Amino acid sequence: MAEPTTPIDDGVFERSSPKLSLAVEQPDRVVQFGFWPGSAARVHRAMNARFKLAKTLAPGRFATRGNALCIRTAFDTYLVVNADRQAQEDRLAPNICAVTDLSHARAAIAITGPAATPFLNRELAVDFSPEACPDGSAVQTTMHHMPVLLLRHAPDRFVLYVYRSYARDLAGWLADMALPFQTG
Amino acid sequence: MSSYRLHDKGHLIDRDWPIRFRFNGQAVEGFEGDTLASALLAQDVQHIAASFKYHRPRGVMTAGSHEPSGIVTLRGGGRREPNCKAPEVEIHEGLEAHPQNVWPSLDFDVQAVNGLLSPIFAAGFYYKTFFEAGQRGWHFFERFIRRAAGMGEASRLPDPDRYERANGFADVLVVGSGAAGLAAALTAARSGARVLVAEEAAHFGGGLLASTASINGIKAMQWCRETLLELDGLPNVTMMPRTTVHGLFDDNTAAALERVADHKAQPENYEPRQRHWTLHAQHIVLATGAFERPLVFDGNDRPGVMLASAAVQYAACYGVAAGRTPIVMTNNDSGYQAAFDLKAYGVNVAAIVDLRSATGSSLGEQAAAHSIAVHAGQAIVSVKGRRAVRGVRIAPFDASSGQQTGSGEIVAADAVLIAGGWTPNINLASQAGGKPVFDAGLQAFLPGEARANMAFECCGSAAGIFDLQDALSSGVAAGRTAVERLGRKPLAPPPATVEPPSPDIRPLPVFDIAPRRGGGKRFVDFQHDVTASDIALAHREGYVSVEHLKRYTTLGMAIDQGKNANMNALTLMAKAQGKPIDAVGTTRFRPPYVPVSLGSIAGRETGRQFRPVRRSPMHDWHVANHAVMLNTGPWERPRYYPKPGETITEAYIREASTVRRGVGMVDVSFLGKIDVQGHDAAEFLNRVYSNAFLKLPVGKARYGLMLREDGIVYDDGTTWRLAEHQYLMTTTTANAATVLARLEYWHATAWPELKVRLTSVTDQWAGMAVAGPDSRAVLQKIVTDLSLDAEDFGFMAVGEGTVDGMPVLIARLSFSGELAYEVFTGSHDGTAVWEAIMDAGQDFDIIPYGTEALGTLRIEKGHVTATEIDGRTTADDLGLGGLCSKKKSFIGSALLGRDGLTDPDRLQLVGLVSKENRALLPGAHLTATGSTTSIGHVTATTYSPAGERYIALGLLRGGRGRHGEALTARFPMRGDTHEIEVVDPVFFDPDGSRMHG
Repeated sequence: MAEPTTPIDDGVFERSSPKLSLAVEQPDRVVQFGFWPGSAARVHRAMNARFKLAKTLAPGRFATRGNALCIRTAFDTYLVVNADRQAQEDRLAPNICAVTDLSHARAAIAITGPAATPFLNRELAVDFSPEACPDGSAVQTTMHHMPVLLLRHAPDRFVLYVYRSYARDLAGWLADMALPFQTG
Repeated sequence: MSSYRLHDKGHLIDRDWPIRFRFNGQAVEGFEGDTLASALLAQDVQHIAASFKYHRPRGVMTAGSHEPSGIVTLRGGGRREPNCKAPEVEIHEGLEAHPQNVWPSLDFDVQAVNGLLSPIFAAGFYYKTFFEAGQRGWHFFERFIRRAAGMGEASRLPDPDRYERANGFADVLVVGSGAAGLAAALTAARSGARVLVAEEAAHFGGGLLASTASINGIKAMQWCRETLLELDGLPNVTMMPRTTVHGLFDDNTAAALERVADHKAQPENYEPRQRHWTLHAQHIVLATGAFERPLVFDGNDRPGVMLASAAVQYAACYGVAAGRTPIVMTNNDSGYQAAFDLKAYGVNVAAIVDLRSATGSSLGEQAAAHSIAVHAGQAIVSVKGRRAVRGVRIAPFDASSGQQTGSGEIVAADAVLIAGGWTPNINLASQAGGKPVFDAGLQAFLPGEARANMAFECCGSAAGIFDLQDALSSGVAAGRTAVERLGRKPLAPPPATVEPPSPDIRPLPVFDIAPRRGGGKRFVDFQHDVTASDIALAHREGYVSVEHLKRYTTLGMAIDQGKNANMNALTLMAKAQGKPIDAVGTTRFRPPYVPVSLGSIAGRETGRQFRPVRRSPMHDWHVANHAVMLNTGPWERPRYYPKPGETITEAYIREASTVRRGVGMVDVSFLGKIDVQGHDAAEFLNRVYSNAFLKLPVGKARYGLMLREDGIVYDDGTTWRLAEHQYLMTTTTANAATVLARLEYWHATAWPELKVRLTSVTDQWAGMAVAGPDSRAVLQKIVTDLSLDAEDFGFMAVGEGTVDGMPVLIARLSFSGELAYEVFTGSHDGTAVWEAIMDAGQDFDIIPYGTEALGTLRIEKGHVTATEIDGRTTADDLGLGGLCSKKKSFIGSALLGRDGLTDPDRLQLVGLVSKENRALLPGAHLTATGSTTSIGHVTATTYSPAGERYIALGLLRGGRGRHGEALTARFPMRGDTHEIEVVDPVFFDPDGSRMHG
């Protein structure tokens, strides 16, 4: 079996600084759970159990368990990243919700450093103050016309998910925007 | 000698740090901290530009970004920037500044002859002169007019500098950092709000920088420093110098331009020259100050005539005297204050000319104490000198009539400092608020109410509050209001005490000094050379609306946008019409407040980053194999793969021929793909497609046609039933996003009860179509876990298999008309599967083919794409009427039977064959032979390798009944006529035996 390829050029993020570093962080598995009215409670219970959550995630929030992520991207949608496939998925689909494999559809880029928020604000109209965007926030927005999903893991660590076909351009765009933060 | 550097003073310059730069090709020396205006004035360089229309010598008139006359071009090459305002330009080592609008030189400007011809260049000159010249006449003169007109010249070279965009967030955005702005910022900041202070100038402080008053017992400047020190030390405050807020938009969004490196010879590594900010605030405080108002008199545009407040600023901040014997002309007390301040800074003001016949005795006494002569009830009626002020004529003046009443006398003077009252800077407030309100006392407009979706407060002189103590209080109040609206408890600083009291700036409402005998030029708009006579002429010609006046005279345009001119123009208009000013009206301000570079708006969206590009998973393979790429929408697709020396035509013919003869593979990852899941997925598809989908078996695909609500064809594609409740829908590349949006819209609004989910999986799947008689044999070499035998895997079959361990989804479909398979695999595996198929195909001489050959194959087969599904055609027009079910309701079915859509004379799909054995032109009109009346058009053309002739598809009136008819294809813009024959649109394999085989 051939080695899967990532869409982002090798070396595009080779420049780094203590203020800001970028890195490809390709997810292994991305699965979307989309449900319809009437089945929300069962899906929430399943997610809460799987990620040991005391309460259901609000839309725009995510939780981690080990390397796996559970992201509530919308009122009726979860995105689960890097979680092992479980029988639960089969139980949920198709009666309770639609389970869609998006593992090949997304690329991810990690953005780390004290300059991460001013760097992201070069393009994103997102208020990164702790009150408006605390750790655990999942923000769907656009960057340079490309739809992205931004996860805030820590005050100075973010992961940006992008459609695979746009990933190379987004990586190039980010690398270029990072230059002023990685100089001097 | 007139203007000069004072021995001391000038707290913004560093006299130990000389800066050398060049102006007009000459070396000039200034000090670190100087502006171009202050440095030139310090060297007695007063004539620095020529005016727009009459090419009159012009100098510096203001000390800010509203400068209308001292306009220069900076730098050279790709960095050349015209229309820079000298008072705003910070000098630096190596700066190159050039006078603009002059030829061949500043001292000898040929177009100054325009001044002599000024009687014919009055308002409406172009309208009147060229109205009857006709189009040809106008176009003849236009080239000369365009060459002569304009202000500065932009570089034609690429700008080498970097520009950026950025977003900023604040609880309170304070625009302006004068007394009121700082007080507002301090109040909000001490209360814990996130505060952002945007200041247009390089230094914070606004009018405090030149004030001689004291606040709370200390010099205003010292108060300013201490306040800035406190603000700087607060973590919740961001101070943004050199940042001009130029637009206010809904929900407290402000647009601002930060001049990051304009004050440097070159930006540092990766530093942007300018950064464009979108600032998002909960609340905005507008402390934008006020403009001093010029007066209208003969020669008021001469170098050496400037605003009195500007002269004070040059003296206080830069240690520059506007003249050795300047004379102040005023209609209010602030002119006296300016004269006294100038005296305090060491400038020898010779006299004050006061339009008012009587002033308070204390002002007269103070003037006497400063040895300044006062000419009350008089006016400067004319200025002597062309490139500098050589003297002025002071004459008795009747304020009630606005007329000079005596001949007066010529008085020696080398500068005229005008204090014509103050105009609150309501530009931003006007953008975001209601109609400005006229204040008769100030003779100026004040901000109107904020719009419902805006939250801003005006304070200080921007709100018409000119007393310094009151301005500080208004700033505190604005800060307090902002904080309270945030739900916080305000912690305001204690009330400030100011000494001495500020002067009364309410003017005598006289701004125009009409000469006794006419003549001379009294400028209202210095930017566009609009005079009081032009406004009078426009009035005589019936222009009663201020908007019409503006366009007829070009008043209030160009880079100062009427900041200096509008009020005087309104006053003159009102006087001419015999109406009060507020009855004449005012123009509303629009963004941008100052000129904004296109570079800053574009940011990094230049060159290869102009727009994002989507790439197929196999993109690198295509490039490595010499594909010529084509941008189709956001996608970059292989167009053809030329062999050395091969033309595009040779390449696509070879590629298409190979597919017909053997096997080829084309990347189809670009197709839109939508995952449709749920118990009601079949029902949903049955409603959105015109043909039946309820009974499509698992493991089968079906071609589907999607109509708009009005019955016109919207999109087509195949949908594959992968499982009982799961389908994979494919759409055209162009409509992928909009089809998904429409499906979601219908689901959300028409059928919310259906349990179905729609998810874009375009990026999940890499797709490749393997086409040609040998395609099955190639795939059979490498596909495992799936039998591709004809009897097992018939036409439109769908199945899962593996290639080299990688899962693949295969559907037996054909766009080319050949035996063909679409192989989908996870995008990360796309290249590996593609290469595996290419390797397996070596024995069959497989080739990759691009969009050109794809187009050829589909035209030969008569398959439609976007050129035929053009938003005007019905299914029947395209020969697909049989796909519209009569047994069910679907999107578009209700309106499909309208008379207009069933007319047999509608444009219908036909095939076209060249009778001249040459390529047809797409877009050509179809006409009857000998006629020029269009009865259709050519949609797509190609050379057909299979038919060995040039063919096309077209849409022709009643086309299905005209097969065999001879027509002419005409392309008038290229002068081409082409004899053709109408045929059936399916040129190749009409019975489908090849793709079904």
